[in-house]
Amino acid sequence: MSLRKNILIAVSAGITILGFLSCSNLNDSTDVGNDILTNSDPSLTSFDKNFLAFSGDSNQVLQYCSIPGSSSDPLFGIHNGMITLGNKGMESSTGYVKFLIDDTLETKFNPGDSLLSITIQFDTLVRDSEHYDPGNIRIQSCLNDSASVRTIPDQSAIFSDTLQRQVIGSDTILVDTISGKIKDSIFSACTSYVNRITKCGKDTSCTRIQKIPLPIAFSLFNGNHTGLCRLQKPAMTIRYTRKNNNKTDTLSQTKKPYYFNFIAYESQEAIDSLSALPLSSYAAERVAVFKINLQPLWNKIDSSKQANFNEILSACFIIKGKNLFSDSITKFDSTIEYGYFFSPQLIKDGYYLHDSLFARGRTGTSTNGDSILMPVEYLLRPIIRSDRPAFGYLYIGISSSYDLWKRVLWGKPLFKAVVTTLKR
Amino acid sequence: MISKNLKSLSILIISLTFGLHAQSMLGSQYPMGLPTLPSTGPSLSLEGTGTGIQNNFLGMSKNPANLASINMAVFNAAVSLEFLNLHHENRAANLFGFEPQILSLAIPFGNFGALGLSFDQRNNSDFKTHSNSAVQYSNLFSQFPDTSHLWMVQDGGSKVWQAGWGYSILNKVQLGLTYERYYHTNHTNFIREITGSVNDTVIDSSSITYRGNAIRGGVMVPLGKLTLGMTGEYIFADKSTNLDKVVGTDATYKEIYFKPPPSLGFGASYQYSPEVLVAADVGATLWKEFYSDLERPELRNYAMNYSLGGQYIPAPNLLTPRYIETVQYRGGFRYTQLPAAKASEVAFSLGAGLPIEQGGGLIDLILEYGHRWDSNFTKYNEDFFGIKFGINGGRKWLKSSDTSY
Repeated sequence: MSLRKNILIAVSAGITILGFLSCSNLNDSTDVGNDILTNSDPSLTSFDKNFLAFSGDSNQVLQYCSIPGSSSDPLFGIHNGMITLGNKGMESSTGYVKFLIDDTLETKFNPGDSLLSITIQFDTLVRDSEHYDPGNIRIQSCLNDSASVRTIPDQSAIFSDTLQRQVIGSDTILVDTISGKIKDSIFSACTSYVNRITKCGKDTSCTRIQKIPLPIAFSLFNGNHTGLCRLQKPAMTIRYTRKNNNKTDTLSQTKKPYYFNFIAYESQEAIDSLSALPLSSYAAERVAVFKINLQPLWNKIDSSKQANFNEILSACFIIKGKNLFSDSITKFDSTIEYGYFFSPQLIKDGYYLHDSLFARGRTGTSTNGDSILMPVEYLLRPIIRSDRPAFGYLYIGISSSYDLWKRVLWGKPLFKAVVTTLKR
Repeated sequence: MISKNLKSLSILIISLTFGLHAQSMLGSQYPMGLPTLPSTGPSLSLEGTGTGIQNNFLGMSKNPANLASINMAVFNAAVSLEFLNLHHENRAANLFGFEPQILSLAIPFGNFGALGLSFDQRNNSDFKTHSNSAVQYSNLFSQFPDTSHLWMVQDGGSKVWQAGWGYSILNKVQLGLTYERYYHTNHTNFIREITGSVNDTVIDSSSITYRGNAIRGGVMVPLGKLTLGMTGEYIFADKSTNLDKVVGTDATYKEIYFKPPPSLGFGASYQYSPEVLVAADVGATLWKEFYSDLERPELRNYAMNYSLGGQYIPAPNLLTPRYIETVQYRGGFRYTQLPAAKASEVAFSLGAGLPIEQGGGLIDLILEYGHRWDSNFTKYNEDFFGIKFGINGGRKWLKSSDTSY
């Protein structure tokens, strides 16, 4: 008999047996006979000895507030890779763009080149109803990107001007011509590069110093404009001439920015009025904070005589939120990503706070009706294993939103938990 | 036709050997799981009887001394499809599993005796239980119902590799001795799970791994139609590893001492006629000698096993018998005390040994029914029904030169 026929018979027998099994009323597992396990260890089958449910209520929230993104704190409201300028409600924003004049640009120039112009431009304004109107955007030289020097125009800036609107085809771009000392510094750095490097000869440390880039930064303001505009693709263009025999060529080099961002911040009026609310905002990165009384949980655990409940199995906050301007967040609104954190410590420092909001969720995916579930068992486990603080803080921020200016006012969260035992 | 399907059945049996086991709840409380019958097909159809039977196809499964009586190279494999019915008051559940019994090889070397190699399953500790219940929160959370689940999943058992030698002294006494490499593992996961509005799990796991050495010896004395046999096994204590871990935390690891129990067995068979053979075994597992640093339930001092069986071949010596007259019909009964003090099982079996290749091979088809109980749990018992398959192949590599023409 051929091997193929043997295999066929074996497979047929196997299929027959599997068919018989699938038609049988067979169980994968069962709880029939659990009494035997109970006899050897009563805790193995007892739900009372393995699960203790805790149901909190709104009284568990002792306090709430929000930590604002203020103009004096450079760690809030920074959004890299985009520039949005203007004012909305009680939030304002300023932009920043930084270029590095380095050897990728400098090597393209000769010492005898003559400067025609240096321009900086931002093209392709985002065309949506909220962000289109550019207003009058001021650009001025900037020494650093600290938020404290970016919220108010610097009256002593060596360069300050207004971006001019230009329409090219169907696109609108904003352009300004750089003038004064900055212009000279940029072009001088470019044309002196060859000589600087030549003088260094084989001195590598000298060469290294000469190759240190020259940073050129600008801040952008939209003044008192009551609208917003978003700028894209910043670029610096140097136009110059070069003599070539008896001919003069006109050339240009374009440099992309080293980085650019905008910072959104709240007015002092907003800080004063909103800090008492459990409010999260995306642009200014305001973070809502709830002080949660954990003592009822510990009391429930300690009062249980069923078992030594020493491990968090499940814990979550259930919370409702609504847009500050009244529209509620429902499961159909899946545009908001939120970050949250639960800690026994009160964190005010923005550096640590924003890094801490690593637990993520998105409305729509972790929403039941209009309530959002925020699992925190993995944040609570270290707490229950070490000490048992009387209270903890729930922090909620908005980590992403289609609407940059989304603000969510949160209701009081409800806390539920199930604790269990460690068997080992 | 039957002989030609030998390969097919072999493929099927070997593939089933790697399957799951039926899940005895009673076996879950024994320190090494539920004892199994590591026997070849002919002995399985006699309900494990065979310590005093001389038979090529028993190999060294029941008595290493049987190696001395084999006159051809023999390969054996056996597997059981086990259906388990658990009863507790008015509730019942049906479970199913595959249970490997044995893979063995025996090779005779004429006057130098015979060599045996085997791999067999001694104990089985697999089981899985699951129960669930709604979590009771306050009404504030009525929109967010959760269900709690308790799982206990255990797998493991004892597996033994053996190499043995059998030798006959003046055709009057047969001796057999094997070296065994004994492996016992037991891995238990205790799982607490929440499903519903949230999904979380905590898993406590614990495992024990024992690797040790053992020796097993046997004597067989043929006295005309009567054959007496005795066998014993001693497993040496050794360090084993115990690993406890909660998922998400560091594991704790410790060494413990572990010593499986020794065992003794006595058997006798009587060849009443060429057609009829009857046999009986008495054995004991000496749980009194079992030792483990881990907690264990109260065990018997000695777990006895009594079995008897009979074989009938309609026409064993006819030159041209019909095939049906060469089939080896067997039946057996067994009463086995389980390790726990008041736990036992009884089982009956009926089997047919189907000769293939002019007696050079044998396919065993066996049906077994048994009942398992523990008097400590009067409302609980287990019924088991097994369909067992054995495949036995033999070939004479050394021809006797006694015949002269």
